[in-house]
Amino acid sequence: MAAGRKIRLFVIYAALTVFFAAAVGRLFWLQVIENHFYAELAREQSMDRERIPAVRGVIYDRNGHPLAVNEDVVSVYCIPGLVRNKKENAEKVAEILGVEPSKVLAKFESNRKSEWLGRELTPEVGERIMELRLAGVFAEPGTLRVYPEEELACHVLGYVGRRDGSLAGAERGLNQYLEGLPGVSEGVGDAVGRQLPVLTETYVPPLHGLSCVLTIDKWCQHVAERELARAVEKHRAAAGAVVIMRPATGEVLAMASYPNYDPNRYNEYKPEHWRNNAVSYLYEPGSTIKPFIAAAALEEGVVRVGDEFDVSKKITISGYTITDLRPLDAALSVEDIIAYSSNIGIVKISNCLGSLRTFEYLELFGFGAPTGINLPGESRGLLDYERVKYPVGRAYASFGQGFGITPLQMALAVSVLANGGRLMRPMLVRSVLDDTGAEAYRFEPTVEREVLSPEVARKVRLMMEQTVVRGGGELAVVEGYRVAGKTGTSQVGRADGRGYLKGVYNASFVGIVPVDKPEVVIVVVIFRPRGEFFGGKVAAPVFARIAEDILPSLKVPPTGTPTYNEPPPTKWETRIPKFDGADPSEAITEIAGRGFGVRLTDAGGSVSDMYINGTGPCSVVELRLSGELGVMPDVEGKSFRDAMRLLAPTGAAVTISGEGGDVIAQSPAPGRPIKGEVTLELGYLEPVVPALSESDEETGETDAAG
Amino acid sequence: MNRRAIIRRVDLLLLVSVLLLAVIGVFAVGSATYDGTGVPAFARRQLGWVGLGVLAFIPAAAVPYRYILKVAPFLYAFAVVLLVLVLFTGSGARRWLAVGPFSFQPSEFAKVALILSLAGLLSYKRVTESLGGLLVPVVLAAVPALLVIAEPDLGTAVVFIPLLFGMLFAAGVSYTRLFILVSPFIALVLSFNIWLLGLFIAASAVVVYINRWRFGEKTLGFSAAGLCALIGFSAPFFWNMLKEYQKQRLLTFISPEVDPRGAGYSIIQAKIAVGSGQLFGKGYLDGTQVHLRFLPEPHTDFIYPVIAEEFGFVGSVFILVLFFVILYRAIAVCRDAGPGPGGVLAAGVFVYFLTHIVVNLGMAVGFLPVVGLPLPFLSYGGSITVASFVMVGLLVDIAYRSRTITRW
Repeated sequence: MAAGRKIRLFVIYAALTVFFAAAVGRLFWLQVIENHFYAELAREQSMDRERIPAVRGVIYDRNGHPLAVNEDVVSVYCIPGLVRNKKENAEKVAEILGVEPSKVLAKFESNRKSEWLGRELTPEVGERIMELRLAGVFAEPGTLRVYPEEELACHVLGYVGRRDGSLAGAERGLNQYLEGLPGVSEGVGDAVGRQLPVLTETYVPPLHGLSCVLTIDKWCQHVAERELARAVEKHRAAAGAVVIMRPATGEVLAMASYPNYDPNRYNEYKPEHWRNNAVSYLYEPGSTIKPFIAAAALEEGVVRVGDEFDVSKKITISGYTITDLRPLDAALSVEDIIAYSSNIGIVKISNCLGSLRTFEYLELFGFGAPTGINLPGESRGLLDYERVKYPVGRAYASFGQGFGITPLQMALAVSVLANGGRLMRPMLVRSVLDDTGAEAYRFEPTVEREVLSPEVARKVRLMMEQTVVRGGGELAVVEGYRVAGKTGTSQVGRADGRGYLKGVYNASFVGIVPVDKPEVVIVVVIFRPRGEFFGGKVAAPVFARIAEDILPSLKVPPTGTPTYNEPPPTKWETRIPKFDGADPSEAITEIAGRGFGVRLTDAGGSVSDMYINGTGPCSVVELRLSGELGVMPDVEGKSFRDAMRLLAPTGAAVTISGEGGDVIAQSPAPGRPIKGEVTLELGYLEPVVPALSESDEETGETDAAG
Repeated sequence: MNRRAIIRRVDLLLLVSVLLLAVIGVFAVGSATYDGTGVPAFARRQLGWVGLGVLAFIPAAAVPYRYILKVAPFLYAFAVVLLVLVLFTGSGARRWLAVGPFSFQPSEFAKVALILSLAGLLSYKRVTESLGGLLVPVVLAAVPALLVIAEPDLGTAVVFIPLLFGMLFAAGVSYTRLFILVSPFIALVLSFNIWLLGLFIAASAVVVYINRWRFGEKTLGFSAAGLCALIGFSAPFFWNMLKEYQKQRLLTFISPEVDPRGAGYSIIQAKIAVGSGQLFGKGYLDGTQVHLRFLPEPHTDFIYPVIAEEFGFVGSVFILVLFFVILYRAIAVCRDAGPGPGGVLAAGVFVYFLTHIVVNLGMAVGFLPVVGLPLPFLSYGGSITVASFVMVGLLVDIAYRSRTITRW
């Protein structure tokens, strides 16, 4: 028994010693070997880093009207494990929140660490909940971005995502100014996450965001949106965009897009409502590009203002026929080509300019490159030399098909014409203000480059004025102001890039007002209207109504009645005497002397009848003849214009084959009597234009280009 | 006997260690509950408990333990009555009984009563030398243990198991019988793995067969093996009857990092507190783990990490040394008291301290699961403090009445 006791005692001693040795070893391990690890853990979990949010900058319009502001809100959350008397308290909270008690109860009984009871509540509601003094219910103050004008300028402003911090529009584009820099308070915090103020180690105050004063004018924006919405609804269009710009500075006074949305409730709208069509909707400009082609040709000196181009014949290039919407049987001046929006005429002008220069000027006007405005999602456009290189592509490009632009790019390009030829960088922000409201930085207008001489810009404006006065832009007339403008009706390309959709158009109008001292450029684009689709019918009235409403508020003095470059056309009888039975050459001299085109039908002899096909200055007088004609002159190798001049006295009807500006073959041969009609084959003597490759093919006929 | 002789026969090293621990305990409780303003109420009250403990120590040491053992059956019966009472009158966790302005834990009183009763009972050879006789102390321990489980207080109930077996061991019960008694508990632990359980049952059957001459009646041995099988295989069913927090405590012991905010959170925070104390500690009242409230229950279950954090490795080991002295002296007393009731009683005191110290320190340094057992003399609490002083008093009494005094 004694031996047994000894063994038992030894077992106990051994076990005791082993335990204490293990405990000392463990302590040594924790406190001496690994101590830095645990010391770091202790420091880390007691170190509390609190982010002090910066107040986001306010967005104002140019006159100081707030467009985006911050409102104090309170979010209330609970830590379910700490909530007592859940059922009873859920009812109290639910009553204040105005929700079902079961929903609050579900959150109180949730397994998650914390649950939001209500987010972004008004401070009053938050206070009422906190006054219940419930254990486990906490409030977190915050701010909510509010857009007091609701839909106004929604696409310019964008929105601030409530939960995810996503940003759109200027909120994103100007975020570097608006967001500020959050401050940091670093100190010792206890296990509950409360920072102990006495033990705060570092405190970096937040830098509040800068407020931005936009160039947007609230009234202009309102008018633009109102009229755009009205037009899109009226024409059941897919979408629309309006840009109002101050050409001298590039300031965007208004940028409207439709369909629109309320940024306070942005997530209730379909994403297409968020899209800012003014910077992201690509469209082919159509005839609104014509003034720029004309300006380029004038600037380059390849065409003079007085030059006339025969638009009486369709042009066929590589199997594609280019016609005018309203065929005019006349030679048109550059001004008339713009005023009457002649496709044939502008194609001929671009022929003089050549492919490379046509393309280069489009680039100089800012097409095909981002404008650099402070807005996200801007499209650079679609302008590719490969598509302009060959005659067909160049011809299409000259009336605005085959490349894509944005409404904002168009507004900037029009501003070039309105601003003495200078391309401006667009301005969306005038200045930024610090949190005391003092101006921290002012943005100055920037000239991107000089594209045109002021003289050419002025001349083109005057041509555009004639569009409004006597061309297709009559509906753009603004009472009391001289308006320059251009309509556009462009075809819409198929999504697959192969040809154009039948019967689908974009209607647009670009306008400058007043002509002499341009103050405002307005671009209106209505995408895919149904029914009426001409730019002059759909978009021009929008321009007029906008201009009428904004010009007085912008203090643009009225400029009086529009002036005509030429006296208004009178009835032909009053201007052209009857030439019945007269000698054709006499009649032609007389008629041409009065600035009318002449067309002879039937062969030789005296004038048997006379028709006039229009009332404008480009009207063509048709003389029907009977009898013999003269001797055929040698016109081979002469320019088409000279050949026509030589042939005019004979009164022979001329039939043209081929394309080009020069006569390369004639019939009858020189010196032979002209019987019936004369046939001329046209072509280019110099330079020789390369044949169009297969890849460059557009599709069939241009059936419309206003 | 003159006063000097008495003092010479009193174990001064033990008393100094105990008093030192008690004083440290008051300060540790003060640090654990310090809120930045003055002496915390917990520290003052703990000082009161220590005073009460010293008052209880005096009769325990002065009255010869053989008289005390005589009244042990009455104390035991009284403890059982209190344990039943607490189930009906206790509020909340039903662990406390209110006496006037104070409240105490009957389970703590039951531990003392059980130790005394077993010490008296196990001196009878009839009890210790037959397997049937051993059922009496088993039942004696099981009754209060089950009542405590019903409170519910699993941690305290667990203490009854080592108390029983420790005292049986000290009373000289044969290893084979001990093995048969322990085997159901081993089977319970092994029930988590069906293969280990099978292996164990096969092994215990072999042991029973080899030692069949010892107990004469084979059937009893084999029925013990059968009981193992029954407990082992039905344990998963009882597992499902455990309270969620009890399961959680056992499970998080296996992998505390799984659930850093649950029960495992306490272990992690205790480890951080201990480890970040480093060699010399952060200084009194400067422990970040406790004062930033990362450490749960710092004044009771996790009092040791408080000391470890503020006094470092040096302070923690010093505490260990003091506890080691108490335990070591308890064994010495047990050894010197011989095989009689005095030795068994001393063994009970030893196991009482050992269990609390091992479970609490094991938890504090991450050896064992979180079982809510207080650390004697250091943790805040009236019942445990008074009971601990009574235990030391018994130890002093036994030593005093043994023939020899160990000096070393």
